[in-house]
Amino acid sequence: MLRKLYIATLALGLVATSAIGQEKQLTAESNKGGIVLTSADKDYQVSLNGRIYMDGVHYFDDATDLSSDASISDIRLGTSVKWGQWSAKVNVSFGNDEVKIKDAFLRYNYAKNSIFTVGNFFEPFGIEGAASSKDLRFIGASNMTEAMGIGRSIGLGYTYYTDKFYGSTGVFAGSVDNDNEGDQGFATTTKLVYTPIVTDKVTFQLGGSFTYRIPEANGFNESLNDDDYNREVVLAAGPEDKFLNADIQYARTDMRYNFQSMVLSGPFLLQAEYTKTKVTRDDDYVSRLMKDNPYWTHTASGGYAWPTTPGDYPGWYGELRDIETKAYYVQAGFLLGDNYAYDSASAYIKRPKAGSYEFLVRYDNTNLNDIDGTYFNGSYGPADLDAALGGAGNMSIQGGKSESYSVAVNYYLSDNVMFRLNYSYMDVQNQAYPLDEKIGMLKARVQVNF
Amino acid sequence: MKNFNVKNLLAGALILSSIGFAGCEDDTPDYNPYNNYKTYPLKELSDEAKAVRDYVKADAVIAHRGSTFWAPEETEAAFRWARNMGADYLEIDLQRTQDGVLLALHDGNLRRTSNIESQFPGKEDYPVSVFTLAQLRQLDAGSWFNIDVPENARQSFVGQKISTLEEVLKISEGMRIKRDIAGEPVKDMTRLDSEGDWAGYYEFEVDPQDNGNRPGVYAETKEPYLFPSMEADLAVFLSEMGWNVTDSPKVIATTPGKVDVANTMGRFILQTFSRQSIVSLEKVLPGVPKCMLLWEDESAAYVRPSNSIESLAEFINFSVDYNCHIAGPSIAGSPNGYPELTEPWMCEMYHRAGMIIHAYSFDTEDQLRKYNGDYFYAGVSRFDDPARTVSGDFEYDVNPNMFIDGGFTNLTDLSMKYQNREVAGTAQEVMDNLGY
Repeated sequence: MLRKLYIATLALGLVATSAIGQEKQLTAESNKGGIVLTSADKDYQVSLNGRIYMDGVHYFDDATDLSSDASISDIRLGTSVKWGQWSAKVNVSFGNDEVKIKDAFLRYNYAKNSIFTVGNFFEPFGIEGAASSKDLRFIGASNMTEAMGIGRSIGLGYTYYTDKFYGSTGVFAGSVDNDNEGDQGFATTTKLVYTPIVTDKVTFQLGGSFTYRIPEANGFNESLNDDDYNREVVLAAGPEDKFLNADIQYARTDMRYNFQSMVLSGPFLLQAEYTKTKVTRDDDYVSRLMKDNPYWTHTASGGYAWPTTPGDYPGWYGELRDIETKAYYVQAGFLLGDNYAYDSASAYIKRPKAGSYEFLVRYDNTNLNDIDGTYFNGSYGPADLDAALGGAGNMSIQGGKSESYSVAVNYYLSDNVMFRLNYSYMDVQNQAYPLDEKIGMLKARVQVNF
Repeated sequence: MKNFNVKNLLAGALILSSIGFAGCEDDTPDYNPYNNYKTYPLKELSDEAKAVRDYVKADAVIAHRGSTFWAPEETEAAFRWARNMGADYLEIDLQRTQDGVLLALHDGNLRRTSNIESQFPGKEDYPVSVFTLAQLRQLDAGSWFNIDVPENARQSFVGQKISTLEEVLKISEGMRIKRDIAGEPVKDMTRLDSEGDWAGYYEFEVDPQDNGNRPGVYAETKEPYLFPSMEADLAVFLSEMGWNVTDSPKVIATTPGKVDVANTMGRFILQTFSRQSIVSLEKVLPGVPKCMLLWEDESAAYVRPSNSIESLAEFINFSVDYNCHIAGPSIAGSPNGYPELTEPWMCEMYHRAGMIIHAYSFDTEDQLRKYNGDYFYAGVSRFDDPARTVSGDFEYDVNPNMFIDGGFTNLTDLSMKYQNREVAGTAQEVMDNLGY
């Protein structure tokens, strides 16, 4: 599989090259370490791109044993082709022995700053959530973005930007990872960023993103939802997704709001994001679940059953109310050897020049709990202790919460190679891991991209 | 590439590989019960609660439903046999009739242990709470046993009645139901219902076959939704009967050398699987020993196999909060094949919280030996050699805290023999002597 996709990716580039090559003579040149073939009239351009992430992580774990290791967490190979106002990109990841389609889209530049995209690409949501991992300040995104960011989806998007304004919107129909356990999801996502100050000395940016989603189905169940699928939203982050993990079942819709702000001033960076999510759930699921078995009573085998009527079931199992979670982070950076530069085309930061060092600190606060019941023995009962002890249920979500403090050093060896070193200290509270409180993580990465 | 860049590249590779090597170090023990049972945080019973715990007789032999093997369960025959066999406690399941009488019955209906099909056709699956005591007295609670357990069948079991709690207490005190010449129970016509009819009670008499044992009673309450406020009814009834040790308990005459539990502060023990019932029991019968029964299942009401140590700790901490002095875990093995909740590490945790352990239910000598730890001591029982020493190399730090303090048994005779206690004869001889 891995080999086939690799060959297919290369073939796409070569076919595109040879097709046009019959008509035009291409010139090979190097652009920031990558190979670019360009026609004489500059109208046609093809480039090969790739990346390697060589990672090491050591956990200073508490009670739960976490797997410290060294790994090749990502190998990426791809091709970009440009024909005048049209362009396309295909990009496949082979990290950790998994093959995943990453960027795979066709793009039309109506004007330089007015772009239509169709295919699999980043949904415009937040700063970190819409940025490539190679351009993030830390190794991996914050817990907030890991849990609540969106990533790539298949859809149609439009982006418009000026020096001070960046707007991007799209409609999406699920991800390439969908395992066909029912209908794909649907989403519409919009990001608006305004940068009132863009000068050589200071850049100040404010923005917001919103997404409305019908989550992907994860299995057929004729008792659940109007369309017979159970839809779930999983918000997970942190070491091995253990201590922050909210699995929200019976979801109907998923809405997320993100507010972002960034200040660049010479070698200084200040960046913050806040995200709130709201998952609505199928509040009538219990009645449907029980419709074929409305009367349970004392059974022939001598067992007991709950002497309730169908109307009692939601009360017995707990109301499937909406679930809200929230998170934010704040990070500050200092560049030694360069100044931060703003890229209005992506509403993000340009890569610092070769030879620069970057020092960063970050505070992240992620809360994946939405609890209104009494917790005991792995699940929730009603807030009323007597009802809880009697066995009635409650549909609270306990995804855990954490505060993380991180420091990082990046060294930009060249336009293609960088070294990263991170340390994070995570203060976790998760009732499923009652003995785990303090987790330390030391991470290093050698990052190559071309 | 410039030289200094190569140096930096090497430095980066060095950092990366050193973190990788560090990752290979096993810095934290694997998270599993065997590595954590000694240190997992647990609450501990208060000194007052421990004093109540100590009311309970050590190495208690608890006659599960009187007997399920030698006589029809929870009938007069089963309880009289258990008493004369030497059990320390008569174990019962409490239910309540429509007219509020507390009685001893295990199942949620009467189908298995009575002839309800012929007496009340169409009501086979009804719970006991829809019948009055007088109606229930029409049932034969003994004949089914003769069919189900033919090797132990006795003609005299035919016509055995469902037992009331009052009858169980009276049997413990050395009484029996009075019978006429035909062997029929004599109705107590001094106790009438609101209509002026017989209320279903029988007269008592001193049991001529009583051999002097005075066992306690170990009663299980069900989920409160089945019998709302039954715990309060129980408290009132025990006080009336002189069996509430916190409310002027009566003196029950005992015989030296015989079981005397009925005359101790540990004469009545409460047990339940229901947390809700535990809360009620602590409210209405504080200071009475209580046992939290444990079962394994992947739901909040039971010990979850997916996270057994957390779940067990949760139960233990809850038990401590509500002064449950005893843990009542299930044991594995034939014939019941119950879940294993009495592993040595689990017992260590129950004991660390200050609780004692009454496991359920014992049917074989192998189970008795296993849960008393004999196999860690070269097969030597602590009843044979209190100073026995560990023999062999085990994954555990084997110690006496890893084993039970008593058990619910279907074969009181076997448990008595295992503990080297004096008995009045074989199980069959005791049954014969009682006139069955």
